[in-house]
Amino acid sequence: MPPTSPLRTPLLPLLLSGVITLSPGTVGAAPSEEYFYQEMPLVLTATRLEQPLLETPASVTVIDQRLIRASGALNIPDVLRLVPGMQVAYVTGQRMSVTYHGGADEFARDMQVLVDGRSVYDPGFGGVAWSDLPLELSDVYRIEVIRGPDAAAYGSNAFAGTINIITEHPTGQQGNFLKATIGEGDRRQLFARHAGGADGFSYRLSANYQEDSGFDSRPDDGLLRSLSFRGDYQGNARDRFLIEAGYSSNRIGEGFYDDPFQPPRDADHVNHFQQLRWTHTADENNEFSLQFYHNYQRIDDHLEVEVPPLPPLAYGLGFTTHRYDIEAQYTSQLGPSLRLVGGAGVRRDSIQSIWVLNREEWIERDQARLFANLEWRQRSNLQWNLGGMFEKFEGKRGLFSPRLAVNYQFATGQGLRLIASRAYRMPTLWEDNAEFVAFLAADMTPVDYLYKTLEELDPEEMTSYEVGYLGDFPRWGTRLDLRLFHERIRNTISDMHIGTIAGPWPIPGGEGAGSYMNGGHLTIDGLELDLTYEPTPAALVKLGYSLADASGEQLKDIPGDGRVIMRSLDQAVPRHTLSLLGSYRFRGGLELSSAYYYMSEMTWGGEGTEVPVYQRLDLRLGQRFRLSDSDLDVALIFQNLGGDTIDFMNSPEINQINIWTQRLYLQAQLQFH
Amino acid sequence: MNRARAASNTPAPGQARPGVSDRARTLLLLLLLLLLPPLAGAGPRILVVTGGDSDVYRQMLDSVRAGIDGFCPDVATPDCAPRLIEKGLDDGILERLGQEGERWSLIVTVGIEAARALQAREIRVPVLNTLIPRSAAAELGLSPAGEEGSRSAVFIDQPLRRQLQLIPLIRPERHRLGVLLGPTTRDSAAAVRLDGRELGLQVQVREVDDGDKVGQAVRRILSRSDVLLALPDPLVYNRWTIVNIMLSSYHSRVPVIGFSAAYVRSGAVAAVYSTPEDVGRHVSDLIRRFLADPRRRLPAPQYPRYFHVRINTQVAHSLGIELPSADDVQRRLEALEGP
Repeated sequence: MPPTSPLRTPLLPLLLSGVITLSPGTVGAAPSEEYFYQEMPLVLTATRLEQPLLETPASVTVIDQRLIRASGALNIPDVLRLVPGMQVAYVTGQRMSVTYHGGADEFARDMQVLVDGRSVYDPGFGGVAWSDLPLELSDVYRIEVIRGPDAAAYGSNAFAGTINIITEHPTGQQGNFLKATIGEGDRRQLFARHAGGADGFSYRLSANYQEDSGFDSRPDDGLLRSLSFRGDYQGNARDRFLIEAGYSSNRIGEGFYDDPFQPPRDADHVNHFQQLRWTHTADENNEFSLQFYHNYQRIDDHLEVEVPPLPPLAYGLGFTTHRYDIEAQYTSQLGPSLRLVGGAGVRRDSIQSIWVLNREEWIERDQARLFANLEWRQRSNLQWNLGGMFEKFEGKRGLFSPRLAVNYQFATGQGLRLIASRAYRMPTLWEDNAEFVAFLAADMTPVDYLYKTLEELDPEEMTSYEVGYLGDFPRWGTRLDLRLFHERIRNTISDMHIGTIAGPWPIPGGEGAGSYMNGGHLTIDGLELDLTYEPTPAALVKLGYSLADASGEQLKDIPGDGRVIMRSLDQAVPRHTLSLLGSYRFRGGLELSSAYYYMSEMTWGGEGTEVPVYQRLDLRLGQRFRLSDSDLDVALIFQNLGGDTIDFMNSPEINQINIWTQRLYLQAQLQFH
Repeated sequence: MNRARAASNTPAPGQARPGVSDRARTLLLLLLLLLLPPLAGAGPRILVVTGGDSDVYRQMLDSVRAGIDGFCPDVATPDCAPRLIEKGLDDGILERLGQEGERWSLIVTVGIEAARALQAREIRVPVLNTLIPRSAAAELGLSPAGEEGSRSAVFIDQPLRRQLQLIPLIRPERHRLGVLLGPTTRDSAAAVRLDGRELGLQVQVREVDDGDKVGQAVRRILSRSDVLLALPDPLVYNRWTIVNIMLSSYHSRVPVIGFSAAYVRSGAVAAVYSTPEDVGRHVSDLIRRFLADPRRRLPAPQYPRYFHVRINTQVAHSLGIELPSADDVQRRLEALEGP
């Protein structure tokens, strides 16, 4: 080969040399040869790679930052409305219940929720204290929702589904960021973040202040202060560390205006957590990680009521919980077509509450687990996943949750999947140990039971079958996931009434008490559609739809006269759940987006009631400005444009009703360079 | 693995081998040499100056030695084989160069440190800088389009066009190319745009001048790209930033094209790069050419002629990209560069 000029045409060198002499600012020092030959951290190792969606043994909905922004949502639960089959309810203006395939009350106990691999499921009452999480939407990088049971990977409670919230790596957030929101419903929010780092360590510190007045119809104001930290350290090419911690204090209004037994009052919530994870990449094919975390939740909520002729009574809903968890995981690419993920973990959950458990001592429950998943690519277009988790909870029999899935791609970008799995839902510490007592306010003598569990509960058991189709058509900017499912839940833990439970001095008119017993079943057959259409990078349409046909019943009441009264669960799942979002980015930084949500009439459990069709229309109008030292994003957000909507609770006759009215917010975000 | 192109206009070793009649004489001379070890040989002496001891230098120099093994520029001269004399910078050789400069036919520097040390001196011997990044050319007074002469270089990095040509081979249907430049690579902006356009790519270039801004810049560029091409700029691409870059690109489903094998191990779907052996082989070509040239002139600075392609099938598969084999890609790249 003749000695070639490194640059192809004679014009370029001239042009380039011009650029060199004219270019202002510093020219970086040339790197040494070591730079070209140095080892780099092994990041996307075989062990860490996700299966391509076509080969994933589950239906997965991914919500990224663009969708989050376009939705105009101000909190994580509202974002989750975009997930097909997901129902979101506001129990009060400050407490949300997010459930998949209904079947929930104010605590959606059937879903696992992870933030950066840490379970935020509340061991006390179940579900997630969404508004107490020291996590603001601006720090969320993406949310992956596994629709359907995934206990084989995430253990019991990954029952109906699993929500994986992944926060942004601090290196992507360097600098200072401010967000302010004001609007109707007395909403005022100020969020500030600083992210920095050096020498392989990067971190962010986020602080949030937020207040609003909740529903107009209820005394449910909220005032949240939270602080969170994430640090990432890349020790060397093979070891990395994650450290996270957060703290929040939340004062929220509870009660009703016209209920003497539940008068308006403030409850104080404190939530904090610590998390540490070490990941060691031995080589391209082997990775080991060790994680520890601790969650703390405390709710102070108790009151004295005076309803003559009764003496002054005291009761409360406050409790304190801890969760300590350690998990080791090993991932190994055993060969070109075989990958194994396995691990073991231990957990200690504990709860203390004089009010709802009627004892001073802590109740503890330990769990130990072993899990493995083997992924076998039998052929390039045929993959098998065989996984399972064995869990042993203190005082319970051992549980094994298996899953078998096969994925088959019959054409480029199109595939089918068949999944069979079994999952369990452990009773929460509250369900297992409920002893909710009304005390004499004067000397705290127990008077009567409001709730009392009489027997040791067994877990709920779900068997699930799924046939899925995924079509990915990049040329048309379209991705379609279609899922047919059959879910059968046995042994449902029923929130019921037992007429024979009586305290030392039964309150007149309040015979018996609430209780939990295994007894009931629920079958859900349905179809789900998750469609993303991105014809151009500027335009985005996302449609989620779920058709569910539920039938089942569970214990409602054992009055004590020999009868057993069942409650129908046919309406525990809404027949239709739909979300439709459209967004368009115009040139010049203007973005217009709108989202519509629909949910058939359904019946919520617990404090909830039957509610009519829920519809909501949101609109967001955002404009981005490039300033000299920052990016400014200003948005007008309209929520619930359609007007009054009833959510979760609909008892107007006793003035216990949640009515959403229209809301308009103005939001400004400033990212400094 | 090493399938780099052998086509070259420089004479192959066989052509320069001494004839049968010369063998006896050579043998005799060798015997004489054995008897007189202190006597210096008559062949050209090449001074190799390295920045110290490293595996990279050793691999490169082994390759240079293998390349000039048996080569004899002037059959008439007894003991004509060129001899490589290797010295570290700490040897004090540079200080003595002034006095013994004439003893060397050529000075080959290995690595940027040696190149810089020599740059600071007035030397009349032709100098070939090797294993230096292209971005050091200006600093070393090397003109990439320069004339043949007494100073030249073999860079470590790849010609931009070779890297760009890799893209259509990896993602034939996607055309949006993202390139993130820093202080070291800023000068390439115009060339990236121009060459990219010629290959039918829509090039998005973003410049960063503060290490703290890399994360944000990456996110922005990823949202508008189908492929991210990494160019060697330590501010943008380093061991600390790479974790986030790889993870963000993966989550954005944008494949990264790296500039070393380590990048492919880290998570890039592909890289075209030259190993120290590849560079050494090229250097040996240039040495032979230089020694065979009666005018003893060096060609203009060059990018490495020999290269390797490495791909990460697992990452590609996870991103849903079907890739040809590394050998196949390499052959096609070689074909594109012509003989």
